[in-house]
Amino acid sequence: MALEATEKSPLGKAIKRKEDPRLIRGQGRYLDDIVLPRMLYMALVRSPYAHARIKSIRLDEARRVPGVKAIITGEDLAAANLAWMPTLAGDKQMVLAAGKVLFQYQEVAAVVAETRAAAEDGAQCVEVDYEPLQVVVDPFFALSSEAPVLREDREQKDNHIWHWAVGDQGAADEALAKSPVRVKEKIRMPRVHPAPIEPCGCVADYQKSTGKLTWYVTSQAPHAHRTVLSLVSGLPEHLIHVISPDVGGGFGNKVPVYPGYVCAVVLSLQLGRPVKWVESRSENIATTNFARDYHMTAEIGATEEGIVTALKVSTVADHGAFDAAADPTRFPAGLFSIVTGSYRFPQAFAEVDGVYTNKAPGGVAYRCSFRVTEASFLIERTMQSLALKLGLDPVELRRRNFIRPEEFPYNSPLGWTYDSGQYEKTLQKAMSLIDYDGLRAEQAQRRERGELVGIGVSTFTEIVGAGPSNTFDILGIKMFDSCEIRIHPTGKAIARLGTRHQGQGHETTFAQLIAHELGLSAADILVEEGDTDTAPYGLGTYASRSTPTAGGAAALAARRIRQKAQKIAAHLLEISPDDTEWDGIHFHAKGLESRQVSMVDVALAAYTNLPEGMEPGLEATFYYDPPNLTFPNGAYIAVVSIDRGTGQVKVERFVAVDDCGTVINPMVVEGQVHGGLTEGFGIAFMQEIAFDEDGNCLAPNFMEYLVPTAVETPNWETGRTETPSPHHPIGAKGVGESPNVGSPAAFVNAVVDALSPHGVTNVEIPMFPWKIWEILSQHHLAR
Amino acid sequence: MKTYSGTLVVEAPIPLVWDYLMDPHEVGAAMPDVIDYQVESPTRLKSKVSVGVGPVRAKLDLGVEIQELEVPVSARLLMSGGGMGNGVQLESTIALLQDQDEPSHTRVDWSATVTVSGPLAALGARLLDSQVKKTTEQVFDNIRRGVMQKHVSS
Repeated sequence: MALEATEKSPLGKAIKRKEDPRLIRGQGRYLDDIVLPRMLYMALVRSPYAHARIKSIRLDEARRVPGVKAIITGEDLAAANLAWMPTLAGDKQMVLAAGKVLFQYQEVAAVVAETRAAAEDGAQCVEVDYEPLQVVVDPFFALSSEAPVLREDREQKDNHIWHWAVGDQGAADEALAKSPVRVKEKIRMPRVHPAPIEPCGCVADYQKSTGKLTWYVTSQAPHAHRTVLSLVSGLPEHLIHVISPDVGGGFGNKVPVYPGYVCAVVLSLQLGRPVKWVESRSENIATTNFARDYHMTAEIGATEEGIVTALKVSTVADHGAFDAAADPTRFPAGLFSIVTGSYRFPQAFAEVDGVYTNKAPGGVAYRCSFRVTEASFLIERTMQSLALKLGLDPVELRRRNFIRPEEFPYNSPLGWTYDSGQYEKTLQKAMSLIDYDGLRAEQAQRRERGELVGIGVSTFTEIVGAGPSNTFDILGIKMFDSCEIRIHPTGKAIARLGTRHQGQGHETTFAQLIAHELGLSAADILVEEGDTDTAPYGLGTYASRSTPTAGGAAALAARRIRQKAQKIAAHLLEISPDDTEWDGIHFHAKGLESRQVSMVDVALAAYTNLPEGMEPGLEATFYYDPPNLTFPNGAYIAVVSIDRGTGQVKVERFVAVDDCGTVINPMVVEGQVHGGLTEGFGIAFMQEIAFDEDGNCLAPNFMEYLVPTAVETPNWETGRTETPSPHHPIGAKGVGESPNVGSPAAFVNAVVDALSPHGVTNVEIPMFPWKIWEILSQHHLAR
Repeated sequence: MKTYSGTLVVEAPIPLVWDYLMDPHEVGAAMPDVIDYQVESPTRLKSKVSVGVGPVRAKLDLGVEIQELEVPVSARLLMSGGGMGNGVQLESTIALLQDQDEPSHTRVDWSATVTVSGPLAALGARLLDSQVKKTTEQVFDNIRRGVMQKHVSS
């Protein structure tokens, strides 16, 4: 049962979310709620072609539309040296098309008008003369010598972006060659989109009188956006004030900087008036950063007893027209090298090739920590294939290969040091919750009756919390995070962090964490994020990094306050600080617990009754540079049945047991897991952004790109094990993305399990009913 | 990019059909849902047409060019343009043959390669194929009707 936010020692309690009363009553303040005096509206002209040269742009008719104030094109931006902007992946991206367009719906011109309707009308009247060029949608063709070079701006005259490899290829090859059992699977994870309910947008408000730009923007990383904007525009960073208001879902989509943002800023600078741009649903899905689009091949070697000996992975990553993934600088394929998963592979090698195609750019971490969903999907699917080949139960195969608790910290062959985990225990809990043995017996009975019933297992390990400064940066900025806590004289406090929540519940969970450290109630802590003029610098909220990084900063800032508070408490107790003890709620004299003062007492004294020579006030800031990443993990089991007549897959049960280390608020964790599982369900069964051969995006709306509603969503059964991270200040690991990382493989493994007696070993996602029905037909199973 | 083809029989002799096809005024009028057209030269015209596919409607500005390949046997019809964020390209070849059953009639063999881009293609993806086929067939059916009217009136 959820508690009100009044309890002392609130860590681990299911306290109700402090942000919900305003959000569920419609009192949130989202980007489109912001209306400023004299505000103008911007609309973008977008290319209907996926690849075409721009022969001319005519603006006369658009300028005559009543209310239109200004129009800019790529040529205008080029004159101001703003035609291109850096991406977070170190590539560059056209702000408005310069000479040619490289994907359908690419931004070609920006029209600003007195009303949104006038801006849209003006955009419709911009006449662009295109010369269509050969379109490249297949990344494998893009790599061939017959493919046209898409990025003519590069010195390198092909469509290959980068090659990234990790591990010992020779040793992996040798181990594979010696392995008596080998399985190889080609696994595709199609292009999907985070599709937050609130699309992206901004209001740029430049005041010519002060030279200050206030930029309201849907941002998961407001400080990083401030820095990027300063680099792009040349505006002094201290004169850019970024405010990320309530954000209606992000899931990675609101990490990058988009051309629309830059255009709105340029037009506000030009006109000296606020300019609002809010994209439509189709613009959001078709142009802002997608996720996945990995074409993967994995080969596992094993002994005849099912002990894995080697893993080799090669992948083609379709990045679209620009490499705009938001990966850390040294990791162009993100943290894909977690691909060895939860298993003791003695040898492993993984390589990824990034490729340009005529599609929208991206590759964001959609509810996963930088390509971890792809990695987890690949290894969990291929382990299923190995189990099939060996004739082993997938649970038994996993048990034989799990990294054991005593092996932590575990050094993987691809370079990671896993912090902690109890994989066997977590799996056992999932099996108990779902009655695995009973299920297998029931499955056998139902199969005898002709039913297609499958049980799918996924025992994944994630890698989150980017990250340690010696390895992780974005555009050179180290990926630490921060927290500043100020305790007021009455014992109430405000905490500001460098992260920016989008529904994760930070206003509650960080209040709980800080209150726990300071002996206060969570109700006494106000958490603020998203304002760069007030919050300390941080890299934002994505990739499950908030609790591992900013959460660490919050705990350590609170402990820094406690150090000073202890001296003040000693002063109040008239004893030496060395004789003062903290019991979690009070300071008291050692051996005399009745002689105590609370943090509230200390707070008042910090402003009224200080030890001589002590600086007044009670506040601290901490920039936390984590020593390692954290490795949440889980065991998921899905049960499905397949309708022979329609190909419809019904998820009959789904048990998710997560181990995210120390839990701050179990209700929030459960909510995160429910949301992530639902998104994983969508990815497995409903979602793909496909393109036709002309580069037309075939799913740029919610009619074609489906989002699960309450009707389709299965009932989720959840459980937990708690294995704290040994290096995190409170042992927390992060959970937001685990369910999205772990669940797609469980769904597919279940469907394959249902069909494997009939010779099916792989099913590509999304598992649309028509696709399953085709498989049923091919195997004479359709009714 | 999709290719469509068909055959129709026009109850008129080849010279009449050929003259009709080579007249940009007649071709302009044969466009389905035409809003307006302007003849720019004996072989070129500009037209504005209204197109609807599924939930999407758009007004398209199209440039049309008629090319003689072999008088009076084959010709090429090129259309390109767009509007409201859509792009359309059509390249059609037309062959005129004497109808084997009725020598005074003309058999018209046509094929058209059509490329549609933008929301029309994306939003109407599931419906586009049948709609493009229908529209293309309608163009030639309009031509057939136009020729026959002219034949009857002459």
